[in-house]
Amino acid sequence: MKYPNAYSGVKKLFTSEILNIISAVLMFVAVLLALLDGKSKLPDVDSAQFWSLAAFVLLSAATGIAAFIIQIIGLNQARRDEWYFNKALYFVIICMVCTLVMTFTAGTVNSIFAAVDEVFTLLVNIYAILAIFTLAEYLKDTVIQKTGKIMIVVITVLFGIALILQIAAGFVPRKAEILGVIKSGFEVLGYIACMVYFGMSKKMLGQS
Amino acid sequence: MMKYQLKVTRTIKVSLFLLAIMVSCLVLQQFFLRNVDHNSLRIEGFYQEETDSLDVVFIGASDIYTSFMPGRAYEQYGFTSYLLASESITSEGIKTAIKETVRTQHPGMIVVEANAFLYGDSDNDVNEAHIHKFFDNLPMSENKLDYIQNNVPVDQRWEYYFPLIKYHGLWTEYPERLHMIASNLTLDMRGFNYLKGFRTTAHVLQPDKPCLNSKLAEENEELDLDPKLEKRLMDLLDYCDEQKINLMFVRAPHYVTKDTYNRVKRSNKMASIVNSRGYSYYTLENDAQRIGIDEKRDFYNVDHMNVYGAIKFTDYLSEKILYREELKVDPLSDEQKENWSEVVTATNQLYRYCDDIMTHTDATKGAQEDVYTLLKLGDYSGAPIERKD
Repeated sequence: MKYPNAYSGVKKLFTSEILNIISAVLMFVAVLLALLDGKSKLPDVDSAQFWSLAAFVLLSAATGIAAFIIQIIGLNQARRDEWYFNKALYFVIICMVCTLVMTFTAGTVNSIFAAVDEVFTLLVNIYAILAIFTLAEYLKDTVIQKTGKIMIVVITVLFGIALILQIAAGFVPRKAEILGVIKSGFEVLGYIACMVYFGMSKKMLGQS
Repeated sequence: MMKYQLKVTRTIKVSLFLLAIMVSCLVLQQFFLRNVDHNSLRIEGFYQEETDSLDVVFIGASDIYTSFMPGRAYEQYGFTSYLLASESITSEGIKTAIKETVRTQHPGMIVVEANAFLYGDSDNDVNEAHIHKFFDNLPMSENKLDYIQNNVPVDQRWEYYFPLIKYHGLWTEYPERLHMIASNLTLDMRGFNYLKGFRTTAHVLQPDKPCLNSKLAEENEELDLDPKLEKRLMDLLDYCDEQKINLMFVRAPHYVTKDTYNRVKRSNKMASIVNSRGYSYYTLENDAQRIGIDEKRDFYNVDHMNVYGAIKFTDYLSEKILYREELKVDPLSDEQKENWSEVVTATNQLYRYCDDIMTHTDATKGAQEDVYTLLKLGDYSGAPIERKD
């Protein structure tokens, strides 16, 4: 194997994307349950509905955190073989800072950091794809290169729409939850696209 | 071989640079190069309220935000409220405020303080400072865009879209502005407003003119409104009819002198107009003595009551809203009740803080939702205020 670190790292990125999808789907189900109930406020703590919602939210958070940790480990490993993974790692750290700030703030500060987090999540994936593209160039795999170019455009559009929906929610507060659900849908599509590409790249690197 | 990667990374670098400029301008506009005052804190606090969580929204100028205490109303009468009010708000500002209330909340009632329609002329409606005080603090929305496109001259519109254009020179006013910037930041991070828009001044008016409040109960004479303001009132009522808004008008008590007596007559005229359209109008200015407003103690200037007057006005108006207007009060979640319990405590502490200043010093102090005032409140009890009158 020519690039064992990149192979190990991309395998972990693949796993991380699967966990991101699971996390987003769990959160999607939780929001859908709350919306279908017709109430915009959380149910009372002593109700069964509160605990089922809480279970989905906690599971979603747990898988999200696991995805994040695996992503960092994967990028840290892969960057030994290709420099663009290094950049992706820096952007992941910025995403982490944004998420921390969002957890402890509300209002405009929260909105600004949420938008910045969305942008840097996109950049993490673009740089990871660029890194794989570069390795594919060295391995003369034109299929992975072509697919990489398409994937960059696809995820830019998908995460771009997610960002617009996030900003739009601020202008239409009554529809914020529905816009949030649609936004999550686009993010999931973005994670699926990345997962497919990392899956293909994993094979390429494994066979090199 | 590396051409494609270079193209992508260059595009990203240029985009990130532009994004950084945009975010920096946004942050500067939102926090640092912005005319942050009590109006900003009040209006921003409104948009932090949970959607559909308010039973009553009060709209108007300083007459209402110095007179009504939402914390007191919740503690004594059980309904939630907010003061979406701005200094000398214009008549068009009233309509926009109602539209924004409908967009973000579904209150059981909207109460409008009449001041914006009672000026002798329509000059206030084109007063740039008063317009900016309200509209600069509204988030961008269809209603705000609508106002700007229909009322603001073309050459001034960009200042309303991007207030940074107007206020970029404010950096010269540091460090004096720091405490209001800090107040804005802490409000943003806290996520809710302790006083729900209430503001007061700890001072008892030492008048140099006789008060005519004792004559007002018998005063039925009417004086025509300014034609432009009357037209705007009619537009507002048409809008509320269309949207089926449960709207009520009120006129808060003032220290009425010979100079301001015509306003009382215009208020009577406005009451006739509003009543003929099927809406309630409470001329509490005329009823000041019946409410128990003491002209020697309850005002801090001729136009505004201090906390002694505000607590009486709040109790009186709350009873009217709850029992005469039959307000339907929505239940609160445990988290919301906890939040409002903090509001009640802060309001009672503020009352005691102002009472302390007025009783023991000759100082005149503004008291509002800023870091200085909130820090001082910790020295006072948050227990319910027992009225001695």
